[in-house]
Amino acid sequence: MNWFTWEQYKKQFLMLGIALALYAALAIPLGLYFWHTYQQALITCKQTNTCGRLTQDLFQSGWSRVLNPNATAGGLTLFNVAILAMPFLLGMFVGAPLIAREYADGTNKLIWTRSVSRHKWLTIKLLWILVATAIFAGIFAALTTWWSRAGNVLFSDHFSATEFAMQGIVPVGYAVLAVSLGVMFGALFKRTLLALAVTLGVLLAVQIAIPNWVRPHLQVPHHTTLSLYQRNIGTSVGAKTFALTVPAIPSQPGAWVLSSHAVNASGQPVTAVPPACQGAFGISQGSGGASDNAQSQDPLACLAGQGLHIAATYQPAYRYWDFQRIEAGVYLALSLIPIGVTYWLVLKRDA
Amino acid sequence: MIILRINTRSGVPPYLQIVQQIKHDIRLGLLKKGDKLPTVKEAVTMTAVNPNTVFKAYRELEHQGLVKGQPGIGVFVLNNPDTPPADAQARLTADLTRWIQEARKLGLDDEATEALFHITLRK
Amino acid sequence: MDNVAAKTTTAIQATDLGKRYGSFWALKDCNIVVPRGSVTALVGPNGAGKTTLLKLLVDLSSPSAGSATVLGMTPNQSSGYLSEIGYLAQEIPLYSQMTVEKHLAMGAHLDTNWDNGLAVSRLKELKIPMGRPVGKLSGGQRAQVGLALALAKKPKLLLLDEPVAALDPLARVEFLTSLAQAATDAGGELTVVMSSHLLADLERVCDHLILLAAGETQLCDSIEHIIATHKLLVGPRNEATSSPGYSIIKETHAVNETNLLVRLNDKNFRSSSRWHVHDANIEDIVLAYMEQAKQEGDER
Repeated sequence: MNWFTWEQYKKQFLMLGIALALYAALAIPLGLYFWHTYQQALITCKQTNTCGRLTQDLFQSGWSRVLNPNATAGGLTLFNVAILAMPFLLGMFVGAPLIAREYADGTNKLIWTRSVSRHKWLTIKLLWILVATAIFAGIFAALTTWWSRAGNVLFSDHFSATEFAMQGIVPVGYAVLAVSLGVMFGALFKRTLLALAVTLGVLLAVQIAIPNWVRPHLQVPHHTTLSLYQRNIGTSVGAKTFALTVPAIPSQPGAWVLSSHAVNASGQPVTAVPPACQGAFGISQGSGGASDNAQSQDPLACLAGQGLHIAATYQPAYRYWDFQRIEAGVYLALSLIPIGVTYWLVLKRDA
Repeated sequence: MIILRINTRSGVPPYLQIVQQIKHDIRLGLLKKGDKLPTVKEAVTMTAVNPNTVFKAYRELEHQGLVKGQPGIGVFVLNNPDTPPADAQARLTADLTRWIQEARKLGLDDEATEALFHITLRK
Repeated sequence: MDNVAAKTTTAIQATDLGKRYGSFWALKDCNIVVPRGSVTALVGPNGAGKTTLLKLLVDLSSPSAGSATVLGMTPNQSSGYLSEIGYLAQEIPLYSQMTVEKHLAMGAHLDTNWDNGLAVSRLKELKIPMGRPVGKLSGGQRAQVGLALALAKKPKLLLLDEPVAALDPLARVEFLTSLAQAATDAGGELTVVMSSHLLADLERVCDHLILLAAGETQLCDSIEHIIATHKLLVGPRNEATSSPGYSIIKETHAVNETNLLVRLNDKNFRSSSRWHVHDANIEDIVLAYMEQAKQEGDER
């Protein structure tokens, strides 16, 4: 059975090998280039005391030819999309056809009437495919992690949704889940194309649900309050409301900010623009009119003068590998469901 | 070696077709005393019939005393079938010829004559 | 003792075997006995459950009712059982990208009693290119590869689902010859059940016959016995046709003649002098049963 599984899928294994080789051929020079220029720039900026604009300088020096210059954090390049698509492609083109194709071609009736039980057939087939998937995804993610290290240090964004899904060990768990789902839908629908489409849909749903609704709660987040006197505060203004957000915690580089909003001195959330600052926000007050003085005031400074702060919740950067381990474990554990259903479908259902 | 043929459209059971053909070949002298019949495998290859059918046909021929199986060697033609003495055969042929002529005189064509013959034979 | 005897002489015994898909019975009340060493034809109209029956016997499907005993075992997934059964599905499924050689290697790796020499000599004799992907072979060649894969398992029971349906006449004869040769080589150790619509072919190669129609087992016997117990009665019109000596399967009337295809209930049945008794051939008998089953189905 081992020989036969190898014989049946050796072309696919070969193609996965080629894909890895191509990716390595791209990722290794890229990683060396990033790391080298980053180290050089670090030395230079220390001499000229311009390390504050290191990122900007690096982009101008040529990183923009490779990376999207606007992608300071979380922006998606085509390259990123291709890397993120890896588990999806495995699920669709390795997982879904695995059993669906046997049903569609009727070869299940040939192979299930050899002297090997269906149970053994399925076990060996799944072992080969899932182990190959894990090895492939592991090497793939290791390459991504390696070439991203300069970027991780510079942008402190490896906790962002896309970087988190591309690096570390999470891609291994996700690829195994993707292939397991593909296999299950293939066994369920007995048609490759349908299985492929449904697998894609479910994987997209998982990829949206986990970072948004599950990942933030894997560990209890930290809370902090930040003064309004700092850079990078995002401000949005409505008719008489406003909202303040921070993309990062200044004292916690690489932390993942889950939520941030304005609060008053007693810690209550504030969304309405305080009357004293309406002028600063350019909101006409109808009667009386704003003084010239108020209009020229910086809105954030005005809010700060009213005793407002920003309250933020975040996951600190040191939790990154805990989160990677937990989430990879969650994906692997979730994989047991489609694998179990596949056994049930193949063993209990008529050919 | 003779070539066995099976006609699947004739309605005659395959084993009987083999029996009839071999008997026919013995009568015509195509098979002589001591000749070996095709092995079961050879017969099966020639006709695509079930081996049991060939066994059955050979058993029937053996039962009729026409052939003799020698285990491990083959099945051999024993003897020409018992035919009536030559003069008796001639007499029967003459009688039949007369009968056929009479049937023709009465307006029966060959087909009708044959049908009448078969019906009478089976009674 | 009875059980031991049954085990040694019976290849397949099915009792009230049935298979339901939702509310539809694909096979119902199937009661058959297939003796060891026989080559059994499985016939019946489309939808009578022939494919379903064969799948149940090879454990590709599990019964909804009744039971089957095959070679003394209930069909199951043990390699002890699977290695005894050769099966060739109707569409002759093969891995179209794989070469003939690789298919044989598959058998060598997956089948307990695999006889590679048998498969190779069989296919070489038929001049089938061993290194070619099976997807590039003719229908007849594919069928021969499928048969070789089933036979080289050295099964005790070979189940063939309409193996010649898609073949041209020459390939059909070649296939049947291969099958008959295999049965000869096995020397009574191989039982074959083959479904087909080609009654003439079946009469050539089979010695037993099972007829499934209208959700029932209409016939299950040796062809010889079926022919011996069925007669065509030809007699005058307008005469009482029923008799305790036989059951009428099919009745046809002409202006002044009545034809009855009957099953004799009494071995020593003698017709009155006004009725002529003719032998019926197996094709006529099978068709008569199928017509009868269809009429009953229509009336229901």
